[in-house]
Amino acid sequence: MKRVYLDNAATTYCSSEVINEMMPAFSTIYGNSNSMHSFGRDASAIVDRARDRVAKAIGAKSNEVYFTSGGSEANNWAIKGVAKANCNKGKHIITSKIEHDSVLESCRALEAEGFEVTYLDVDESGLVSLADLMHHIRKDTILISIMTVNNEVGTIQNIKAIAKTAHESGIIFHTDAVQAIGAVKIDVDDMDIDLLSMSAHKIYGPKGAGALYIRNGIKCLDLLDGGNQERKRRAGTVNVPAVAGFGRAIETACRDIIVNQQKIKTIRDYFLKQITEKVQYIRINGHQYQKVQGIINIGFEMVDAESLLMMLDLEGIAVSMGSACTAGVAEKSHVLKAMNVPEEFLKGSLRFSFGKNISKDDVDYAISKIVEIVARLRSISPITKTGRAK
Amino acid sequence: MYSHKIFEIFKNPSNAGGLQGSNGIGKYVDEICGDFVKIYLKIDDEQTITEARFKTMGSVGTIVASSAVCSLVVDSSLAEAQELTAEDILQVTGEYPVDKMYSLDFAIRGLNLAIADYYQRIEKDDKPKRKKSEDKKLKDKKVKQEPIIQPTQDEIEDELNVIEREEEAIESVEVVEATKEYIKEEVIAENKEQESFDFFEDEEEQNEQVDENEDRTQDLSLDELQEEESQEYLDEDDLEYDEFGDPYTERREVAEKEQALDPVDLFLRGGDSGLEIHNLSSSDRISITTTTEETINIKATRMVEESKTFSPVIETKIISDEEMKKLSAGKKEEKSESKVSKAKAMFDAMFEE
Repeated sequence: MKRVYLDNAATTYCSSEVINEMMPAFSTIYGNSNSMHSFGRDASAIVDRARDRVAKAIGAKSNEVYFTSGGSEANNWAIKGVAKANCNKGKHIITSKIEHDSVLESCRALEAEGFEVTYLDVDESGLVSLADLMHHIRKDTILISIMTVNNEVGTIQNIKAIAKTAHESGIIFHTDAVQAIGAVKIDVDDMDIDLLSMSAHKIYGPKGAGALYIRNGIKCLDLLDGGNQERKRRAGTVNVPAVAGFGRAIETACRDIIVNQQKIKTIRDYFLKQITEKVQYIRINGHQYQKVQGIINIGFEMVDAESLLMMLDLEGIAVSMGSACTAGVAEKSHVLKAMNVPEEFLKGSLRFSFGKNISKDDVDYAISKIVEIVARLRSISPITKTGRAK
Repeated sequence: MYSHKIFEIFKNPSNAGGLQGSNGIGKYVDEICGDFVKIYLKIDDEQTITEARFKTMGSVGTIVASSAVCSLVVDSSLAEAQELTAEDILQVTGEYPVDKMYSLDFAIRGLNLAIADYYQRIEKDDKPKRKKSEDKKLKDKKVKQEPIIQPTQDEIEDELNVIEREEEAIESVEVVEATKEYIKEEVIAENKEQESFDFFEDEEEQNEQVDENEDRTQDLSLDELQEEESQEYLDEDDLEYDEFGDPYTERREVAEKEQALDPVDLFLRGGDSGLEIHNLSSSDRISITTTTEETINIKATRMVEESKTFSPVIETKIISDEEMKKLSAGKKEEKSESKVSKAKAMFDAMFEE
């Protein structure tokens, strides 16, 4: 049984370059980067080198990058820190309905503390409308947070325009670029971004490392109090091996954006062509061209996503779905719901995401199994295309 | 999450599929989850279940539970089947994760609804059966011909009043050639939809349904007949979501209708309410005659903006108020002459095709 991994948007394997970079930090240079002795200073050098690499990859200065434990912590820090530091100017925050859960839950927590949050609607392809944003900007708006690339459908937002709109009104702009690194060229000066969240494990780096970029001069309160690590902004011993891996991964990813995207694009186009030919009654959710190459979200009619996912898993193929149904409470994917995907496709939507190690044989195997399984599930499904029960 | 045993059943569920000649069909759709369970039962005269099948669209737990319910219920009496509980299913499938226990309820409800359906059918069997000669006619499976009832003068005038009101709302906008054919096409399309319906699954059902309706058709007028036909299509065994509304077919029908409508007509009907058009192309010609320049600019620019692909060719003409009155008076004269002939043509077209 062949094992095919089509869930690279959830996490990726660590590439060998990254592992080689991480190995010394485990047993050779193992000091605490905050210590004053030579063991600590050597570890601190590794962290600084990684920090330089991260800063260079996004076009920032090294003293503006702070390492965290991942993208979720960076999102929490950015939103809660900026909101609480600027609450004297106002208490209104604007975000979108298709954000990652860490952003949405942080906003809900702030709502409980007296802040007001507007969740912007998106159109059918997942894009936030500038006109809508401008309409909701008020005098007491202090933060706008819109993700660069959506993790479920892969749509790329018009970040430059949104950031410009925000700065015209003097509002701080934060973006969650966890899925965007390695897929889209990011330059914080060119795009005029104030805060940016990053994560290592989506770009062939280790889990447990991420970073938040905070432009110099932006007021942002700290999330974790304690020691004076990370220039006294984020307490906690720095995860030296993971951070070293992160630095190497982001350097490689930004160096190889074009090559990787090209390779993934050819494979993905092949996959799309095969699946549209062989499987009927499907819908590709998301934007047609303004999206990253690696993510496809397909809705299958007359089929349930969970049973399809489990059947594919029994054949060795790993995919993911956005919705979950636990304890009788159906949490349909909030992203697809905000995009007004028709109901018959909401229940049967799966996300396929490709990595740079995907091969044509894997895709052929996956397609053959998808065709077989969808046909089998549709044969025991009581719904037909004409809308009448069989 | 799920145990190994559940996955084994899930790979190859037993009793999957439909059942020809079933007496009891139960459909259950959950509002929250959207899982759909349909259970077919074949019950003999001694009230024992001889065969049971299922068709499910749902999660792993629901499919496995439906399969287990069918295998438990075969060769048992109706009374025993009605007392089936979730624990009985768990003995067949093994433990379920706590979060997914609700899917056992879906399968049991499907079963109970199938048994209820069987009891309902027994009640209908008491009515006298049809003759065999009439059965042969039904085997052709065509839609029965409606008695053609010519409309009375009052009904014609009512229809024309509606047309007049619509045309007044349009005011001074004319469309070249589009609306003339649109009415005909819409009526033809509606009739085609009705003709292509195949709503008889089994011969038994066929007989029963026609049984009910034929006795009543003689005394109904055209409107009531049309209402009744549409109600026939809402019979239990034909639609999926009989209890909870019909999202799939409704949405599809609405979408098909919108696609079939002429985009220009959509705009005209909406007047100034701001309906969107998407499919105007450069081959559409629209002429606007108004009395002020402002309305031209507003309407023309809005149509160009809303066309989104090509800008249609728009001819504009500004006339004085007096000329406008003459124009509209002229139109009304034309209308009064061809009123009756228009209506007759419409009704003839409906029944010809």
